[in-house]
Amino acid sequence: MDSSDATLIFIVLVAALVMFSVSFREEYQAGLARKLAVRSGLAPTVEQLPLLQEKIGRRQRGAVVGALVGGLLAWFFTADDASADRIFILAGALAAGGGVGIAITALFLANRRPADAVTYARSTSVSLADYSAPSDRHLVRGLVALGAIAAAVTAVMRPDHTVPPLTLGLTIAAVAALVFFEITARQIVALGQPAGSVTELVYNDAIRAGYVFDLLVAPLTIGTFAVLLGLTDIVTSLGEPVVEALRPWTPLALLAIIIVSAIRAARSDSGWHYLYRLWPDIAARADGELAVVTEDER
Amino acid sequence: MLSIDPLSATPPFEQLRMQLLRQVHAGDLVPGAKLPTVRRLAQDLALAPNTVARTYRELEVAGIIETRGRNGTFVRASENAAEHEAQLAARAFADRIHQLGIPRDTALAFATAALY
Repeated sequence: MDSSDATLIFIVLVAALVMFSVSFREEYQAGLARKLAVRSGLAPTVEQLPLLQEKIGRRQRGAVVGALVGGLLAWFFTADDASADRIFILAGALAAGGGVGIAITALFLANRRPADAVTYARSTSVSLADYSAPSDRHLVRGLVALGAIAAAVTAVMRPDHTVPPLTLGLTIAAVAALVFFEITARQIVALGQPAGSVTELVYNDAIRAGYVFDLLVAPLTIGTFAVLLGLTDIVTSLGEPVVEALRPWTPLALLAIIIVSAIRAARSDSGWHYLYRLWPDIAARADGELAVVTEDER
Repeated sequence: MLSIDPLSATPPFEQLRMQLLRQVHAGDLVPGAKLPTVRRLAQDLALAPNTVARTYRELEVAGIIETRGRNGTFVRASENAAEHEAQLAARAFADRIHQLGIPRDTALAFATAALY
């Protein structure tokens, strides 16, 4: 281990420890609950706040532990790799580990069943499409498919008909992360939602939609890396003149992608998707503001 | 929305059956609407799976719902062809209204006005 690696690991461990510790603090959880409220369109209620904070704290701890395990495993297996490309593997492993941590938290820390109290449930079946906006899922599926196509085109264009190991590895990892999302998100949606009130059920849906959205981060991140590397390999295999011709435009293209992504993220109301689908009356009442849930919801 | 009161004098099976019946007759559950799986509804309402299964069975015998193999359990459509078509149109209307985020009362007012 060289000194730069030791410094990096120290920083990551301290950051993980801090994030893990603060997730137990009530003020920090309240801050996260407010963020979730804005994202999901619901105003936190006094009764639901403790439960909401507890679940948010759990989710953060799951993500931190998962990301840490993923990052350390990637660091261990790439310890001999001194190339700059290693950052893609480490970042991808952090995202994938975080996703696995969140999935475990969602799947194995189910809701408590209210004892001897009135229980509520919706009378219709729900599916993944109720919790995740189609645009989000199509974007991720499209990115992963584009990465796979880029890798295939690279193999065709290169004289030895091979794909560079890093591009191939990231493409396979992106497909695996997407498959993991598709299976795990459906399992989370299929889990029971014991609720002691309608309000609890609505907030439970908000948290569930948040879990599903978080699970998309890993395939999105790794898929983006796979596309970037795949396109770079294609351009490289076209020869030095093409590389030189495209070089001045690359930063502009990246900047355009970042700006378009930022605008899309800012204008997206995918966090409210579950409200439109499952609780349209609440969504209509919110009208751009956070909605207050009442026990009269149907 | 379904709710079960474990302290009620009415058995959970009857509470569930009556609520589902009421929702179908009131149009809250339209023909073609997919019901939760037995296991899922049992988990959600803290009931034994047998209780939910018995409710579904009785409603199926009464012609209110139907089981389509592994696809799940659905509210049964009317036998009348014209009514069946109207029910499908109503289902499509309801789906679109959900997508648009229009409140239920407003959507019903639109539909009522369109019928005159």
